[in-house]
Amino acid sequence: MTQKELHNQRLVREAQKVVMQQHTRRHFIKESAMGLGALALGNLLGGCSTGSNNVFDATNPLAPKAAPFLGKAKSVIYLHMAGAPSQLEMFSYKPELAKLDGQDCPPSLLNGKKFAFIRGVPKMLGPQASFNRYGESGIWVSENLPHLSTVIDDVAVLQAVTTDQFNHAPAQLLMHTGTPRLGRPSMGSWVTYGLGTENKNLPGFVVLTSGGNNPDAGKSVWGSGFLPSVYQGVQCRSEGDPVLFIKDPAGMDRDIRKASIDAINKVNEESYTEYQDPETLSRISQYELAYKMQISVPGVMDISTEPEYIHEMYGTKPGESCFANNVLLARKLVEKGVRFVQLFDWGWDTHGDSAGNAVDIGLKNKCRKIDRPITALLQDLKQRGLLDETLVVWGSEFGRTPMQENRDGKTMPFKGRDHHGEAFSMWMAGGGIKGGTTYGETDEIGYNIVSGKVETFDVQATILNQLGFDHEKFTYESQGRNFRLTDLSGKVIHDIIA
Amino acid sequence: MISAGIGRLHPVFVHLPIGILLFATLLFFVSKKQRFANMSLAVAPALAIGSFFSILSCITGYLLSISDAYNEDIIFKHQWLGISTAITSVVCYFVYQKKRIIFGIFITLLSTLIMVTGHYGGSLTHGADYLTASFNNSTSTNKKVIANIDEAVVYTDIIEPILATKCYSCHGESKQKGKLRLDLPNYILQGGEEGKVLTPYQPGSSEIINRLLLPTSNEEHMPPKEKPQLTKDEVALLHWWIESGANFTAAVKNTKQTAAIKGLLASFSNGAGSNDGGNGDGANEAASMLPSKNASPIAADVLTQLNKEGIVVVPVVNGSNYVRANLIGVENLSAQTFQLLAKISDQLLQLNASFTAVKDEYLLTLSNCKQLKQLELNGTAITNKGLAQLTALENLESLSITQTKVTADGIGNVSALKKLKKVYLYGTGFTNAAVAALKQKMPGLLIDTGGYKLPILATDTTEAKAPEVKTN
Repeated sequence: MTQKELHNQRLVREAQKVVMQQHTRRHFIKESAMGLGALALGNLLGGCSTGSNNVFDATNPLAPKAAPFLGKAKSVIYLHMAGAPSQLEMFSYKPELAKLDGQDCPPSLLNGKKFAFIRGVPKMLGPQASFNRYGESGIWVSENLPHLSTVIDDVAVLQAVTTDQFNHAPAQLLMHTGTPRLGRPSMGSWVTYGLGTENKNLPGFVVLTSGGNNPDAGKSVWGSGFLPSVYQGVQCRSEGDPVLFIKDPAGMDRDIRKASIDAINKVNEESYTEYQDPETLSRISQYELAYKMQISVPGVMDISTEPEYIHEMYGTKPGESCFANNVLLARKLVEKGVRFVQLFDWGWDTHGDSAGNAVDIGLKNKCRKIDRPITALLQDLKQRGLLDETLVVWGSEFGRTPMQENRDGKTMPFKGRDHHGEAFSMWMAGGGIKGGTTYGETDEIGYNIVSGKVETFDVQATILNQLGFDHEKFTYESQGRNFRLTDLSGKVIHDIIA
Repeated sequence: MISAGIGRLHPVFVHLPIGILLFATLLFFVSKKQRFANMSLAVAPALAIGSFFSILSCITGYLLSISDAYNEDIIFKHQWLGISTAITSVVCYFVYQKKRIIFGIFITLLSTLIMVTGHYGGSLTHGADYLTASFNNSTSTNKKVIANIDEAVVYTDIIEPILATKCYSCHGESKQKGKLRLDLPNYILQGGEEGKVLTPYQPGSSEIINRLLLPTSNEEHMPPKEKPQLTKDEVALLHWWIESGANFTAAVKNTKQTAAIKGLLASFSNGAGSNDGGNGDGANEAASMLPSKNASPIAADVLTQLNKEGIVVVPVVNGSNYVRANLIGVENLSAQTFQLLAKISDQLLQLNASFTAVKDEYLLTLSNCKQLKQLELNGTAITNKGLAQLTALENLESLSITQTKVTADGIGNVSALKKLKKVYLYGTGFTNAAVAALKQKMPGLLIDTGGYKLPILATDTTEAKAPEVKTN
């Protein structure tokens, strides 16, 4: 065969190969998919317009957004007493329980129930505080809260909140993320995702903790779950550096810091062009926010510049780490446009295993630490015209039993109560809530709910409602389905809305 | 009965010829390309199967048409177009065997026929405006804005639109399920095959209301559970209309209204829209806060300009052109920057300029912001002079001027703001006399002068101690 013939033969073979390649099944499916896809496209485009306004803008994830309907509240201060305070010494007045003090608990209350620590037959424990009616509304408040009782007409008390979790961590997760398990976004993340923040120099969701410990559920309780990570709570401190690791290290001036952040962001931008991962854009905006926060945060987090009058009102001590300082910070942050301020105060787990955990000693002291600052907060928000648009929520993960705890069947050294999820108290104020109301009723010993049951989901639905969201429509798609904060439950508590 | 049963199989069969014959068309045109030439083998069998099913569809379709009530005009067109389609498909099959040159014309005719026939078929089942409905505003916001609700006619302006969006598709011109039409007054009064559907003044014994109130799981419930349901508000309005005599010409003002109905009617005058599905929370509250007429949208370049200066502008609620502006992100607020607000004077509903460098003379810009309802100037250098500039804000409802240099002499200016409901004066130079004078002029005004003090109680300074523990 001549060289030319060989060449021609090879050309023909190559041509055949190309034709064969073009006629693979994959090719056919690919081609037809194009045609079908084009047909489907018209339909899909028609559907696009129904999307909500909550499209995640990765380049500016915290940009302020309008709520679907006009909410009364613009921001939320959520005060969570981690460890579960006893409703029976604070808001739930049960004179009948006093009569049963020291008697054996009737079996009807124990049958089929499981407690965290109570074993065998415990004794009933009467209220360890006296109660009085306060305000025009005549709401019962205990002697443990002498200041709060003066502003009770601004507060709506939920007397029959219930949860199905009796351990701290899962119950806290249920209250804040809508599930007792890990992995869902917290309430603050949802709100920041939905509304953004009006102050571009501060995070939209700030977390402050006090009482010596973080809540049992850890940082997941202010995590962003499947929402973009930019919406997670930023933990700030009232003592030392307000945000850890935000200060420039010694020897690095702000210009060098700026230059390095610009360089990192440039690399990230290139990474984004290549992989199109929106988390990369979140990261860029977070670097920029952190840089701005270096200037803005120390200012807003410094309570020492507040006048003496304010310090006296809140009972704050600049330089310390305490609940009162955090409450004052919460007011300052809300004033500066922060959307959601979440406070956790640890140390309310009054089992009666020590004096500090006794309902007649430790609990009284915890109440004294929160009573003045919280009352001051409500008054201070009011005098600044902020209470109308700031929703203040006070609560915990569950309540405590009307029985005295008998851990492992033994008598405890101090008076304490076990975990109780069936019924506990919470309250809300401001942000369009009808002050001076109580909602829900428990039986005469505060064990079971009689009427006005409020689930954790109902609390969440109500908070979202006050901010202008229908909790049933406020969703985010993850793992192939739409999720909401209240998942499949939740009813707005209309009776406490003004 | 049997024929009606077979007729109901029409929807099952009808989609087969549509798909198969259109697929044959596709195959034919694609196979003209050399690469796909072998696909031409499939055209003939596809035409044969498609023709068979199109004939079957014609038969079942005819049986269906005589067993149920449909719009005669559309059914006539659909029937004869369907028969033409079946005949054309058979013709196509034979033409394809013999004369391929003119086949292209036939198959194009066939696919056109399929589409037109299909369209009329769709009009019969889904209603004539089904296809276009999504372009002319979706069914979910069927409430039109009524400028003067008192003068509106209950039936034409409120009831008819509800019936049109939720009932006409089955009980209208094109289809009359249960022999009932609800699109004209005489048909509504006439009722359907089971008798009258409404009794004026007696909503409780009106079938139309009873059917709406049945649980959706009940077979008798209307609309059928897979169709869009009436909202609670819409049912309430229908109930109200029948209770007041089901009059077709009466105006709203001549019809007796309860407080609940008044609230529902109010939402018509501002286009808040009915809240389909969900629980409707808050929709009515939104209605009371927004001005009755929506503003014109803010131009994009104005928004860019405002954002560039750090002014945050957000709609007060989704879909509204009214906005809330926040100056908190503006560094070194200048007169020029503040004057940018004049460009959104028609849309500005809430303004937060607290803790900014706003000066008295800047505030003149706001005098054109006639819609402004809430103004926050806390912690600024505003004096009495600035406050005097605000008197033109005829819609202002809430004013916060805490920690400013406003004094007792200036506070009197507030009384010029006729709609003001709340004023916050904490940290200003107010005097009790000035506040009392203002209170006298405006008795309904909430004046908060702040300065709340908490007494120092024993509990603030002491700790509860454990009693002496007895040791055994």
